[in-house]
Amino acid sequence: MALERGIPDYLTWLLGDPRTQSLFDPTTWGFLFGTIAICLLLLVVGPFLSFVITSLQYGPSEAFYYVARSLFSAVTEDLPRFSPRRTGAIARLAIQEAIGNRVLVGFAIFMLLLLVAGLFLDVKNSNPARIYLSFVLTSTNFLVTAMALLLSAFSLPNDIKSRTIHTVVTKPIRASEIVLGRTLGFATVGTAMLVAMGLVSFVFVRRGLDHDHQVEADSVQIERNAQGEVVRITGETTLDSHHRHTFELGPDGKGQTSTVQGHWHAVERLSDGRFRIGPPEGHLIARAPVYGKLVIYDREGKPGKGVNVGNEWEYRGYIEGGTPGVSTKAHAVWTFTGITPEKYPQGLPLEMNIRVFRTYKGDIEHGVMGELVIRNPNPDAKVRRSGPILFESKEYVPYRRLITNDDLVSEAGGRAGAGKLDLFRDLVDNGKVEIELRCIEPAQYFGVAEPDVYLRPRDASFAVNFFKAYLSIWLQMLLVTAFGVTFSTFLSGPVALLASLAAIVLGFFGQFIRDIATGVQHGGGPIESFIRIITQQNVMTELEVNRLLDKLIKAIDGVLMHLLMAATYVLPDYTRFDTTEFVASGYDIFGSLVGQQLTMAAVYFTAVTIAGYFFLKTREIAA
Amino acid sequence: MATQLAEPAAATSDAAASDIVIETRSLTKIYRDFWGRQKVRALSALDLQVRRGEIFGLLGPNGSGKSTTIKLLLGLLFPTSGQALVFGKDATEVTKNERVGYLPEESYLYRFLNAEETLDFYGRLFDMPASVRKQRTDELIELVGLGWARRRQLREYSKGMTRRIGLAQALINDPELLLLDEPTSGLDPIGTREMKDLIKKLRDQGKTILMSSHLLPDVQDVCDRIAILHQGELKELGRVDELLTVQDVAQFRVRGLTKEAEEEIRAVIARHGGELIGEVDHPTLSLEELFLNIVRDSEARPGRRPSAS
Repeated sequence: MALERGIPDYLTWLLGDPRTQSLFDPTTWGFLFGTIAICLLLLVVGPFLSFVITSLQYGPSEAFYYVARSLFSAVTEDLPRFSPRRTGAIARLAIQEAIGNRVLVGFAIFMLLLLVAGLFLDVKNSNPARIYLSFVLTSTNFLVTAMALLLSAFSLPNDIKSRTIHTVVTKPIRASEIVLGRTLGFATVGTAMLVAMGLVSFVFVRRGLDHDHQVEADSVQIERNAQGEVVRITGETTLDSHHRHTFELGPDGKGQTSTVQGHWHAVERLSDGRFRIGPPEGHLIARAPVYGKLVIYDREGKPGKGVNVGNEWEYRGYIEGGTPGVSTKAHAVWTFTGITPEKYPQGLPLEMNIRVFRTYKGDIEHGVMGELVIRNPNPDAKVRRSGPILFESKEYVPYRRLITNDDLVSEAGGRAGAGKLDLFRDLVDNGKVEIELRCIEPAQYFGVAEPDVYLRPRDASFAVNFFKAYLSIWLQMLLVTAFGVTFSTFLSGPVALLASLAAIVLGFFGQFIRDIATGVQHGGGPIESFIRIITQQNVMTELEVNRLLDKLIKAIDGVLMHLLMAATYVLPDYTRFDTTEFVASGYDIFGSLVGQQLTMAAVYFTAVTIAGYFFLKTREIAA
Repeated sequence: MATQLAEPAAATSDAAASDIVIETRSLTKIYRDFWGRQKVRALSALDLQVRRGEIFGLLGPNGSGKSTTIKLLLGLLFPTSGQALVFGKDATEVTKNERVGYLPEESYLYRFLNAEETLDFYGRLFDMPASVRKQRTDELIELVGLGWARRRQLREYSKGMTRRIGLAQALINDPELLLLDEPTSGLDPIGTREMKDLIKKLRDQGKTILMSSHLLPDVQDVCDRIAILHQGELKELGRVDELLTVQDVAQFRVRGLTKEAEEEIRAVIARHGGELIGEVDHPTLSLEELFLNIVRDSEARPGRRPSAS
């Protein structure tokens, strides 16, 4: 899995990185600071706008009294008299209404999709688990979000249109209870659907990937030593589920198959000479990587960002290949902490996902060669580094290697002299160790980013990871529902739906919109891009309209884009809730990310519900 | 015609004020379009007082401002100017709803609920505990005669049945004040009779009732006082019996006169020894006649009734 940006730890995300934080650059602020700033801004702007609008109708003094009373009664009346029972009644009503509105159709569509999934899922793919997991998570996410959107955006407007709300708001119920009750009711429906979809999906993935193999009797080769004892057994399995494996068993008659389509099987030779092949393993996993801190050194050996090889992600740098220390000093160093014999009794379980950039084709059958060096971060240590460990790069497939003491030979000419090294005694200092990576083929490059090299001491539970992915979808559904209900407190159903949809789009494509507004992306704002589309003009050329019109379009687009950009800072970044890639690629969803999602959901849910409360409270229901 | 007018609020004594359940002071409602331009003046400077324990009728043709008045009193609309007070509190205050029951014009209820669920839902909105809700639900379903259909969804109800369950939800909190918008619309003659009897019974229990209707016999039958609205303006206000009495015409009802005596009846009833039945009486109009007279008069001479302003 390629993480476009590393996931910051929870506190850095919440409070901001003190090294880069700047008061005048909102993009460097932590979530907490940003939230406080936006809330303070809204607390001033909201009542002021309300005052201006009310002044037009009633005059400034009445308007001031009106706004002040609304704010005052929110604290003195509505908050202390909040009733869970009334809120529960509204939630219950929302559930009954949702069921009456055939919400279960969404679940039926999902079941239908699963039934016909075999027709469009690529079961011959090299990693079918990824396809299955992506499919169930994406379709669940889409259906649940669509359901949340439709239910929440139309419910209150329908009540207002049919006037059923007249018999509700004439009871001692608060606007806060209506907004919260509706949101919770629809969220409950969404939760029930999500639980059902999650369970069905889990069974679907497990059953869909489960298969058996037999041993092809003709392929079995038994190697024996001079005494006639079995030394090695090799062979092939039958072709099942569009693939077959080779296998190799040791003298004890136990072993495993090769990894094909992302999984392997345990193989055992029974006493009667027959073979038993176990169920597929290794395809539904949740790697729990331990990441280190990366520093890239350029060809002069100075810390830098690495070579830019073109339109690549900004976070990834490339190191030049060549004879280490002779033709280039370019290398990358990851520093890992918390390395103790208790946690890593067998050695360093290293896994890499580095990119390779070839300036010439070379031997395409083989990967570009590189070397790893284990280094002691303490400059005064007796042993500073191990000898190089060679490896052949693999692209798009994780390269896994357990670095044990057997791999650690002291560097020739080192102070300790040639000989075996002990990882923890010689190279780990206060729980810290460094891993140096070099490309040793001249004119070839390795692309590295911080999450590309990690330790994988043990995996997390796949089932728990699956649950975490559904938790992300649930939190997203909760936010979509809250936004839908709040928009529906002052907009008609279709308009509320569009507004909620716009909030989702802005939330998902915030970075893209900011890039357009700041000119990083070409093509212009809404009007310019519309003209370019209908007149089929290239985004890189000047817009072919007269100069005055061009200026006018750009001026209007500028205003619109900056408004949209401002909205992207206020609306939730929904990309944070997309964890499909984690589960599909077999990575544990970081605890830090789950923490960020929970915090974002709690803050936005509260803020949006409070906004909905004020909108409904100040609305003339029967107008 | 004698009328009992709303007295200025400032002049109301404390004792009387505590007896006033509803009071409107120059209550005005103007509907505006999106751009803030005046679309229609639904209510013009309405001054009303409704006292505890009376049945007060709001009478008027369609578009006269009856429903607007009720919606303003419920806080469903905000006044453009003036004040609407219920139990002495601003009509937009939520706490006043604890003592109010409202039957809307069309019984706007959730059609996917049955009668029991409907009353239970509204009971929850009054924060009633489950046992009280259950008891009130049973009582009210019996009161409105829907025991046989208590588990049927409201979508299966006839209009009359919907009105009954609508009334039941209005009574769920045993309110002190009932606002009934067209309470008898959609009911058959028997249902109408029952509804009117129930309204009187509720009045006898000490509740205050404000009802709007354009079914004149209903208003005449049950209301103690009425206000007649036309084009958003108050045209008449007073006790029903006083409003319907024609003060400048005398009426004598006699029995046992000979044919000859009938010729001289107006001048010499007493001299001819005829038996005078009852006291000298005044003829009354039907409410329908009164209503139509006012509407015709209002259309002929637009403007507010001088004495009501």
